[in-house]
Amino acid sequence: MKPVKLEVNGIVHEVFLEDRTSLADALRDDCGLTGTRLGCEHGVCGACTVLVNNRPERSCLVLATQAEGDTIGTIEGLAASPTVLAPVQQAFRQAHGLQCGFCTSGMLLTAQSLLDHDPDPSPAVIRDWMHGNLCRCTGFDQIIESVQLAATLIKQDQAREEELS
Amino acid sequence: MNSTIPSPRETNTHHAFGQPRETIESARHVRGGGKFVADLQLPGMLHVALLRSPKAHARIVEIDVRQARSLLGVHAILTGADVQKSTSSIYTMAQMHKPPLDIPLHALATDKVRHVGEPVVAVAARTRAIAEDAVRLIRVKYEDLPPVADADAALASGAPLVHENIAGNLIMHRQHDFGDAESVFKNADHVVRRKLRWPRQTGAALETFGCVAQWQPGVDELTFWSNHQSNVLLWTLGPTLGLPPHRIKGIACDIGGAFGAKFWQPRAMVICALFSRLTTRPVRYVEGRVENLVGGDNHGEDRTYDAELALDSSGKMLGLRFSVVEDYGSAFILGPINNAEPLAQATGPYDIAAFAFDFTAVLSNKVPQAAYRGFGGAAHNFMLERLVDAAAVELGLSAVAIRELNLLQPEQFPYRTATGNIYDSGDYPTALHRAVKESSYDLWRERQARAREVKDPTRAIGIGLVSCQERSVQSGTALWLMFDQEPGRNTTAAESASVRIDSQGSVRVALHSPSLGTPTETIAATVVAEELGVPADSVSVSRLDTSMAGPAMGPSASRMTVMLSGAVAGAVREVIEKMRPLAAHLLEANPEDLMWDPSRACFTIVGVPESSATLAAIAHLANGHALRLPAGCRSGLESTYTYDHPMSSMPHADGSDWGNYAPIVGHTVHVPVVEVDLQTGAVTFLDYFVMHDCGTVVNPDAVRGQVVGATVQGIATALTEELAFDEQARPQNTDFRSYFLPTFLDVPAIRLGHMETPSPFTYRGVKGIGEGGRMAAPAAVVSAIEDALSPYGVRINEVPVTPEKILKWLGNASAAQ
Amino acid sequence: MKLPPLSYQRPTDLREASLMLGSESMPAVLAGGQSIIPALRFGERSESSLVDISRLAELQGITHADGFLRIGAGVPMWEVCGSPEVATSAPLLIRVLGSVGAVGIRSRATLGGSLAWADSTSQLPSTLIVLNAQVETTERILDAADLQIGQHQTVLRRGELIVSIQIPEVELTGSGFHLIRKTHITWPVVGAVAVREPSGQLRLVVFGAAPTPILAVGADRAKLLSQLSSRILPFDDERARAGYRGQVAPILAGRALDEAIGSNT
Repeated sequence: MKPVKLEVNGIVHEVFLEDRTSLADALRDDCGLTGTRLGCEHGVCGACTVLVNNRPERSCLVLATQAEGDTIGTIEGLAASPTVLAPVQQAFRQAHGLQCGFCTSGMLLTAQSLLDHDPDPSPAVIRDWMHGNLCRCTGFDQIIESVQLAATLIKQDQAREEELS
Repeated sequence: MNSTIPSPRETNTHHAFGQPRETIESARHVRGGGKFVADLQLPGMLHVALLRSPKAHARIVEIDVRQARSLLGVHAILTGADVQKSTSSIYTMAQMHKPPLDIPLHALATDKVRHVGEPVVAVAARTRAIAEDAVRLIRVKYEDLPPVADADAALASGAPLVHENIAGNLIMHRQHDFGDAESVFKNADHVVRRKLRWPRQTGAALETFGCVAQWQPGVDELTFWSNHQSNVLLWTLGPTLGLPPHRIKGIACDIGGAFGAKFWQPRAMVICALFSRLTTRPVRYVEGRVENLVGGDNHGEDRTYDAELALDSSGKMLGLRFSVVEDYGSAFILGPINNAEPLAQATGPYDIAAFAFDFTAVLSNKVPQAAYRGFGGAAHNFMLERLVDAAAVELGLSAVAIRELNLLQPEQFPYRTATGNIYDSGDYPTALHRAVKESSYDLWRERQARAREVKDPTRAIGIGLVSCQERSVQSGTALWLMFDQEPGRNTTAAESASVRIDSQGSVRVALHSPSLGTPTETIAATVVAEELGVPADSVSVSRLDTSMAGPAMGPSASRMTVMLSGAVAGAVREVIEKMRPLAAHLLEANPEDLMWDPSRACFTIVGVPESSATLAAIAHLANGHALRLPAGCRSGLESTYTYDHPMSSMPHADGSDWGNYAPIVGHTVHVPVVEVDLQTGAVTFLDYFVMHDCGTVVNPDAVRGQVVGATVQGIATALTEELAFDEQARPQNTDFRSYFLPTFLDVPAIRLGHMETPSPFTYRGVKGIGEGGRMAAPAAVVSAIEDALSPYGVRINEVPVTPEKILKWLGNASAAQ
Repeated sequence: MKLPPLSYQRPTDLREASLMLGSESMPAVLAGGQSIIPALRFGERSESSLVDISRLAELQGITHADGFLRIGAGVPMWEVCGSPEVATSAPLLIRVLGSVGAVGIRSRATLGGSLAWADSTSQLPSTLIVLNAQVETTERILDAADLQIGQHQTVLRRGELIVSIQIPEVELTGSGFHLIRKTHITWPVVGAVAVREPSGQLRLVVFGAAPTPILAVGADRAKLLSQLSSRILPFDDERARAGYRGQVAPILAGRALDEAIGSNT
């Protein structure tokens, strides 16, 4: 066991871990952030996706100790505050981009990284970007529409901000 | 006994149903706030890892746990001997059989292991990682026994026995003939026949099974948190653990998908319970993904059909019969449901008078079979639609024409099928015609014809078309006909709900069973909105644990929308009736002169709409103002309502009529269009259209999600998913690198057409929708691929249809020419 | 399914990394971790210590040098995909990388890691071979084609690390890439990648059809394909059987060549 400092959602957690502890387990068991889900623990399903330095990564395939010094974003930090939703979260609710909710954390973070990268993705681009995140419930169509809606919501927010400024 | 919801005094129009609505559940899930079983953090909790058998069939000679026991952090270790000392055999259908079958199942293997992945030793430790370390230190000596790898091997003479007291590995053999199929087949102009193979697949929900057990000494009560989709399992654990059932409490967690595959996982529940009794700590087990796929007690049907359809010279279907051999694996758990359920729609949407079957179930050295979305209906529909396609080819009819000729007509409902099950309602010809039109079926056929003229040797277009039933809302009667169960042991499965209105007029609903990841909370709130008139999003929904829950089976067999809406509406209407005298008191009117107006959420005097008593005013009076209440009234506004199956009937004792046991029948037509790469066998989709009818729609987005999601699962059933075993009964698909779940890039966008033929027998006409997509898509996709390959004479009689098989079939076809 | 106990070391430079890797404990190299971590979880690999090279500065960077595009072995595929230098000098590499795993894997997975993992069904080593890339290690420079000698086997010695991949900056006149896979998140079954050089010379590499990538070079399509046939040594795995691989490999090779040549004859 050794001390590891993890910066998650802007807060530095000092936790005591074995070297073998995955980032996913550290987030869930030691940082109290259980929104990161474990679906397969071998890198196929993408449910454990978190943002590491703004890139989507499978937290089951990263050792926690490797992430020291990185900026980690989890589902709990996606919205600016607990009382609001990020546009991508709002869009997944509105467009029914989820059913059981188990893939949703990883799906939202991957979607957010796409929208950071491409503010207006086509369905083909969305399929390609998101395909490392499996969903067993929805059949994907409503997730694609959710991401498109999120893009629209973000643009609307930006237009509103520009108007105000 | 069939249920009626107390009827309202007036007819409502829909105001909450059919509206787009964000789900209640999504509010927590988009924040990562769902509480799944793996998210529970209880003080002092121990974590379980299991040593699972690497062998399909072997005697356990010796287990050495000394090294594991001395590992720091290990609290307790259990072997089969420990389990056998402190529990009875797990309750399975073997005990329900009359007489009971000697197919014991213990949480850990005792004398021998009977499938790869069978739990042999359990370790409870401070962390899961330590528990796994300890498992690696355990040494088990096995003496190999010859394995039984499939049904053929099981039935071979001199086959090794999976259970020593089950001769010939034969669990049961049944024959039924409804409507004299034998003579119908003898006299028919045409008989088409197909032999079909359907291997195991599984729900593979992204969340694996898990549970936490907490024993409270002194109180002698056991609490389980788990992600079981149904309360049924909890009802059965008492006898196994030697506890009265009311000393077991089940708390449902959020469930990360189930698809039938979280219906029956008792082994780890028993293990966690024993560990908790030993240590008095909470004890958790969560399946790893390999454990889930290999040893999770969740594999779906595993069968071989030899099936025939009899027709007259015009193409009119006269009779259906098949023999089916089913491999239940190494124990007898849910098996018969997978065979009984499909018989509720044995003859599909077609008017077929005669039906017969010959059913054989065997034991093998595979993990016990349980349920996967459709309870065997996907395989059954596949069998029937393969026969219909075969008949069309033989008779020179188009896929559309043979269905037009045989579909049930709207005026035939309610329709009694050959087995006795009733179809409540439907309009199948309209569904077919709309599907043909809206899928641009004829345009695709033209495009296919042009492509065939070009004779491109590299690719071929195929168009599939199937019309399938989606039976919903099962009752239990089929089970005891399927095998020799004591009649009347279990007839129906009710669902309960509680509704309470507090002094502020706020509405709370308590559900009495889990949700497998579908929006049951939203459905409940929507029904409250529909009946009471309060906004759905103002309704607070929670779940009762099983200690105070009423009869409530929970989700399975597409029953929740019907059962839950019946239960919630019943409770709301009873609460409205409790409010009536209070409103009359407030309005100084005669109770009989009042009507509830859901558009304003108040009681009004009939004909005097301006004179009203609001929900808030009545609720205030009802909670804490006993001295102001009219005579005969008590404080409190609540009701718990148990809704029985809306339309079931008893079978005849002689088995000639199985009664009505899954009568709420949805319907769907699938039209996939595929392109097959003739050189690589790769299949890509050019289009996929689904016409569906699940009666009245509560939430259109949720319905779409169910239909599309199940269709995509069915596509994977058709193309990629299989739990295969080698000749030593070793599983070949053990993780997500070899069990092939589809991604965003592997499936098409699904176009939908909606129809609503309300059921006359359910609340507002709703029908089930959970399984239908998967019950139709495999048949549809295979139909499309066979259509593409029809110029080469290829006939497809199995799933999954892999590129490898396509090339083999094309090679065989060209070799034959 | 947790990882077995292991120790983790993060060297500060290549020299230290090589020393650590040469130690008695026989550590495994941890680069992007996308293959080794699952393998350790499944018990398919049994190393009990890991040397993390993912942050070594010497393995980073994408630069032009002496007619080569030099990509640090530790550069995540994500960055390779987003690099304007790669887009200009080796667009085929970006196209192929787009088929590797998914963004959430490419965010960590590296070219060096993929080469060293040496999976026979991987499209990436084959693409580097078809591009005539050289592999710079801590000890030598190798042709990419000489690196892999079997399934998960390379000529790399203990402690020898891949430092960079150097792709000749040659203007190709065509390229083609075809593969078959079970799903888009699992490894390929079989595939082929081809390029056409300005001289008209064709280079073809087939993967998933033998324990190592099969390279064929020549100007004549038919001859290339016939060269191939004797070298296809297909194998069974959980995704396909040998017979299928053997049957489809020439088809995909032909298609890759056709695409590279720019005709469909």
